[in-house]
Amino acid sequence: MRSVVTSLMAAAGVVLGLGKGTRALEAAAPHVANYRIEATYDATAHTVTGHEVLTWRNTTSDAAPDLYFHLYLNAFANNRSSFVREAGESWADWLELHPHGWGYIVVKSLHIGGTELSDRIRFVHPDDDNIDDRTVFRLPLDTPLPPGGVLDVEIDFVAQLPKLVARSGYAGPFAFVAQWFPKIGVYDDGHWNCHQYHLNTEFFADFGSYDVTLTLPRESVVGATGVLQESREDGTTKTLHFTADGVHDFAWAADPRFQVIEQTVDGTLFRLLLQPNHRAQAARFLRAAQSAQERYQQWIGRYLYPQLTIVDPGPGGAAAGGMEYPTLITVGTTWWMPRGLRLPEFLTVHEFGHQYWYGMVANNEFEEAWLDEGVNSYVEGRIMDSVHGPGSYVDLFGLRMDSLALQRLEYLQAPQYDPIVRRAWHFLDRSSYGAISYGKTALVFDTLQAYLGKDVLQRALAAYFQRWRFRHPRGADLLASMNESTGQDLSWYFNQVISGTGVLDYAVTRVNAEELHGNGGYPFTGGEVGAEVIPQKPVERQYHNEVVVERLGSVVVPVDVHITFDDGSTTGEHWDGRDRWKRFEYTGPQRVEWAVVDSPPLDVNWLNNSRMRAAGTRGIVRVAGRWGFWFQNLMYFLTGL
Amino acid sequence: MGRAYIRGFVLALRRWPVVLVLFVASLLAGLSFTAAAWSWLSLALGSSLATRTLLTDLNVQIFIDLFMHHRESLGMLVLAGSMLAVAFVVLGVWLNAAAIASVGEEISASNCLLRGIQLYPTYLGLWALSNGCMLASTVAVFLSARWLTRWTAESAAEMTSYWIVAGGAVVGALLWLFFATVHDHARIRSWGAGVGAVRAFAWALAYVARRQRRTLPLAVLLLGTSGALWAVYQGLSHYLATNSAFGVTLSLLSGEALLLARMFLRVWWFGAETDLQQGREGAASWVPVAIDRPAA
Repeated sequence: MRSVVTSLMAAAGVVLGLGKGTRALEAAAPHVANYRIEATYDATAHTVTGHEVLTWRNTTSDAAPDLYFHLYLNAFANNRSSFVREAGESWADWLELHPHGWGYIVVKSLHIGGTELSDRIRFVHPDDDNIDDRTVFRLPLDTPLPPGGVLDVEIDFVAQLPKLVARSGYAGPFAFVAQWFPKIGVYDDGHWNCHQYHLNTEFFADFGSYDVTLTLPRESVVGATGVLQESREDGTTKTLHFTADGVHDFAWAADPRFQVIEQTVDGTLFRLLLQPNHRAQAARFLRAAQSAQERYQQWIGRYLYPQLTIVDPGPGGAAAGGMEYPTLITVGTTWWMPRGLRLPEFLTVHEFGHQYWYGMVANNEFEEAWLDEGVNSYVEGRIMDSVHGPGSYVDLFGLRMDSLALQRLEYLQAPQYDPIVRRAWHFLDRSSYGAISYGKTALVFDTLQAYLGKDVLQRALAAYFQRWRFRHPRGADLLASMNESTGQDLSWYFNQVISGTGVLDYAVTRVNAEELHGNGGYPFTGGEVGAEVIPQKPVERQYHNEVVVERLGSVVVPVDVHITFDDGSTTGEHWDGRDRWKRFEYTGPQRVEWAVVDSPPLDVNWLNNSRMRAAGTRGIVRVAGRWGFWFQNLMYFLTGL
Repeated sequence: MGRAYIRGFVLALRRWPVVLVLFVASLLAGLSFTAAAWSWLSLALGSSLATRTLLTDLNVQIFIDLFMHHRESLGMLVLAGSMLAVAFVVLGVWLNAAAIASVGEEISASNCLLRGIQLYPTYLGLWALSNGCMLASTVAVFLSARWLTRWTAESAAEMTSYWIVAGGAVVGALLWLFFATVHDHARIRSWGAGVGAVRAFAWALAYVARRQRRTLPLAVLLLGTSGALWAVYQGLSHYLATNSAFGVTLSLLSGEALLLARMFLRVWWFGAETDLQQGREGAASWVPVAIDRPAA
């Protein structure tokens, strides 16, 4: 009860103190799909029985002849769904552990204008030919809904939660309830955008308001999208009333073990629901959320919601971790997490970033995941680096990894199978999806930052946010916004790296210094051949220096080349990078020592970005010597057994 | 146990030539792998500036590129390392035999090595028996932990899985220590009584199991000494700046000093265990003979 009162007080304080953000939210957020849901959770059977009233507004200029709905949980109903088929062997492992862990959702009744229409429901599969997939259904209307028309749809449903897998379900007393109600697709340009639930896909929905009343066991501690308006207890149950405005989804979590820690920062209530064994890490999560909010508000734009709920999944619930929902994020940690391993911080910063890229700027995650995952990964990297400095992600036992290291490690897993712009389920596999949507996209923006400058790119992203918040931008919209904000046509760059699968790879392939001798041989004087001249060494030695830089990949970007000579002098060259190679030549008393092509972060191989005239040995001695030492220790151990 | 610990130390001091032989073999192993690693790094890094900058900066990006772009040749280095490891483990059976001979007999280092050759077939059998037991116990512990983890998968207590993993690790480590101690005593028994591998192993199993209040605590004490050596090395390393040629040289030399100390500890270990076994058996079969006995 204490935590409920505290929540109510905090929420009230936030609402009162956050006039600016709330007013902006009300003004900016469209109301296309508004939901009123009353649901009861049976914590023993892990079922949610609900009644939903959807008020849908046709905001397009086309009449809608039918309605499309997602039934996401049916992805886990059996092994014939598209999701499970795409999961392949990894699903077999899950099934071995949880043979009875299936989940599903069924529509018990569907009324429009008092008429029962559930018998008209037809399951469709717009993305593949899998007739067994039941994650999308179509409902034909008697009369098409005209532009501007409003429709109330009443649905009774029962959702059986799966054993926790792919974001949703239960694990012991912990339940994470996402994608749990029949959810309408997005009507756009005379067509329904309502994809099936795939292994690699996330979500896409219209903005609206949610009014959700949940009845649960009394001991449940609950976190949900939006703000708690009312709580009342009745015997063994309690009923919680949440509202959320300017959002496009509603998720909630329940666990009697949650420890509730709240903190209000700059008008935003951070409500952390932590597992008891992770209590010592509360400050790490809260500090990360606070620094993320601070930098986002400084760099991109204001966080417009009054609250953010941070959920730490219970034991066995890791599959719910690291996810984003409007005003609710899930994180994850373990009982012992070294300070130098910044998983709690990284997850919090990343998922907080999704409140901007996904939450407010609501792109279609099915079709263009890079717009949220990639842009978010870029900003997340900047925040982590700015807060924690070198070794921002890992700083353990001498190993230091910052955002670039992490992004490159991810990207180089599968750099050239898929372009960035690709529907999530069309990627070669999960590895390629992750490498491209997260790693490559972040590096594309890192490279752009190196080209444009940090401030210019930051202002461009802020302008994109301001223009597209509470809307559904496409990739082309981001690129147009970038061009406009920077005052440059960046299509030469984006066309290569967004649409293509080519890689960026510049290399220094030759560094030579050749001593020059005086003239020799038979000189011509007019039409006559003179006497043979023996070449003489000049008094001061002269060298012909040659540096060759090659473009090994297909992506073209301008690069700078830095050349260092043996007298310590340096020179710089700029190359537009278009040809396959470029030679730089210098003659003088000094010999070139090494050359470095200042290739951008997207370059797939940094080792070949530099070359010495004569390879060094000291660096190799250090590493090889150390490895030899470790080998000796291993031998000591093995021969001692 | 205390007496055995101290006498083992004195024995190791007196058998310093054998310690030196063990260290040279270790150095040889290290140099062999260093050469292989040098060759691979030279190939993979080419003339990159990293060949120079790695001295002062172990930039993780270099290792990312090495791993990502030279994975296949890295596999060859791992293979070469594995082959070297097998070779040195095989060699180690002989050197350990020589070390055990050295703490039991007053003979020269060269004769110890010859005694090691004599004992080799039996010691190889003991090595196989001991390591077979360790492997079996590891598999048993792993499977038990896996089964327990799955059995408790629905547990609401987060710590359950941690306890299972920690418990498995502790039980596994104790079993390894037990079989390693049995292996040592079987080798000493085989050398002293001239019995075969199976008989010696069975005898040592019973010996360690029955008298574990002395044998295992001694092993733990020696293990603790090894840990203390490592701690001292780590403590000293902390003060060595390895971002210069001088610092790297000092670091490598201090590493070899640790290895030399570890080889000393090995002879010490064998000496202490021999003394312990001798104490049980009585003087009849165990007084170090003051004759430079030639190898048969």
